[in-house]
Amino acid sequence: MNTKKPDSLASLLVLTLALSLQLTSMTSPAAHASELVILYSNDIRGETEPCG
Amino acid sequence: MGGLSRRAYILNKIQQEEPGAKLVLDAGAMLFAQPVLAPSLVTARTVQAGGIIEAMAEMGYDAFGLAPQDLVAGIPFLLQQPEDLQLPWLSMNLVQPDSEQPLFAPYIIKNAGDLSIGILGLTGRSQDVSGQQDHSGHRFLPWEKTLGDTLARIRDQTDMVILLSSLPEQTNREIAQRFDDIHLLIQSGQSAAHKTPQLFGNTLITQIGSRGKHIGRLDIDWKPSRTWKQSAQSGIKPIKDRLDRINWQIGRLIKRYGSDPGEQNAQYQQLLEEKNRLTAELAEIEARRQGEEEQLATYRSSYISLPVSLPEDQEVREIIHRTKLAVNKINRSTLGDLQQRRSQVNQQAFSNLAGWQVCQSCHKPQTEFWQQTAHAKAWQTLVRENQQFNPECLICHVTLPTYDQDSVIDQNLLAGLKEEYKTIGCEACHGPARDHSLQPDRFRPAQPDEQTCLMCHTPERDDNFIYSEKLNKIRCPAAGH
Repeated sequence: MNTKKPDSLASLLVLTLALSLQLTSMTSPAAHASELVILYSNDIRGETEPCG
Repeated sequence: MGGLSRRAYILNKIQQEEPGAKLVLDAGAMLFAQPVLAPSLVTARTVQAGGIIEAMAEMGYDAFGLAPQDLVAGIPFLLQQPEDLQLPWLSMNLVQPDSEQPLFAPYIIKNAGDLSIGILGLTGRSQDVSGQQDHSGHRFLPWEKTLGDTLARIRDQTDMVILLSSLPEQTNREIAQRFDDIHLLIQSGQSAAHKTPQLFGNTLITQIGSRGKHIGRLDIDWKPSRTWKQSAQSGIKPIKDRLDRINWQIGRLIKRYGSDPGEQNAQYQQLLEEKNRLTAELAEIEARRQGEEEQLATYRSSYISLPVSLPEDQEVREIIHRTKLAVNKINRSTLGDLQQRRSQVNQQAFSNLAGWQVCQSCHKPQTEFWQQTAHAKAWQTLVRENQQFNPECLICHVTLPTYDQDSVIDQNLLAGLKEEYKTIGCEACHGPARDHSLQPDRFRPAQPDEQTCLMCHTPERDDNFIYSEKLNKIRCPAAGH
């Protein structure tokens, strides 16, 4: 029985760690300012390159 | 200007040289020029669309809106592309007719830096496309039926929401006013021009000019308030406008009655009281907002031009070159078929043309000058670029009796093109001159003006066209002959 105790503790630790990571990754919205660049296009309309 | 290989070069350069979070998006209307094409154009244009998909897959876009212009070759054409060419198309309202299940992903959530960004797609319904719907296994749901629910699903998972929409501009504005939690709306299928980003409620609406001549760029400083600074400040504007008006009215009264219109002037007193009240109100709002201002998001908008002097991405260049050869082969075959069925070619349309060689017999100095211009070499340019069978390019590189694209296609004029018209000859600008060549004094050729040039040098095709500058390069010498 005693031999199983460290395993249980280890499992508990792993579970806690996993839960913390999960919660951290779910923290949304971002709590601080964020810089973001958006590059965009629209209406390319079949144009692959200029005629010449 | 433009070109997918130059687009790829710039996108790669920005990705490599600028650290930080980025998203690359396309709002749709990417594959075809119109929602419906003439049957003779569909095969070549579909091969071209395949090349565009391949090139765009190479560029690593994060999401694509789906517009009616992307559905010309049918939905299976998009869905049955090989796995590595499955682009992240988004449309929440293009659904299966019976189950009303979306045919494409309604939204996607992307992580950019520490932001979680929801990107949604709404497809506009083209009247031209509607006739094909029963046969193509899809149906459009009204945006009212899908947008609210989809937004509710992603609201708690995201820091920012972007809508890619090919709905009419007025509808996009209505959506913006109704949904404060759509923060950016990129539209497609509208006019050809750039539109400076504009806030409607808390939604920034933007688009760039058509035919891939530019890349739009927004540098955003996003804040947890999820509110644009410009949007929060819009409440101040009516107060400022009213104050301006009051000051102008007070100025008029002072001008009429002297420096102090006095207590007996009720209108003056009333204006003064309103001015004091509004000034105090404005000061209070501005003081309160000074603290809040740091919490508001800001953006900087710019456009990146793609001039032909830019280097090209070699992989995309290769894709486009391969596609162009395949498309040119199909166009050549289509034109060949049309030429064999000569009865369908309207030769009558050419009967008013003389050809530049006839002009040369009386206008030698002018013809010699013209032969040195880019106009005279326009056909060779197309041959060099493997575009000499492409109707969209051809139309402005030859001498035709009309430059109306629809009538050129309807009358199969390109199939009837003789060798002497394979150049931008005298009559491309001066108009058909057969009558003039026979009776010079009775029939005078037209004098071209700026409008003549703009038939081909449209802002879309040539955004560097300045009439007064270009005229010097092509104006024939010794006017009056």
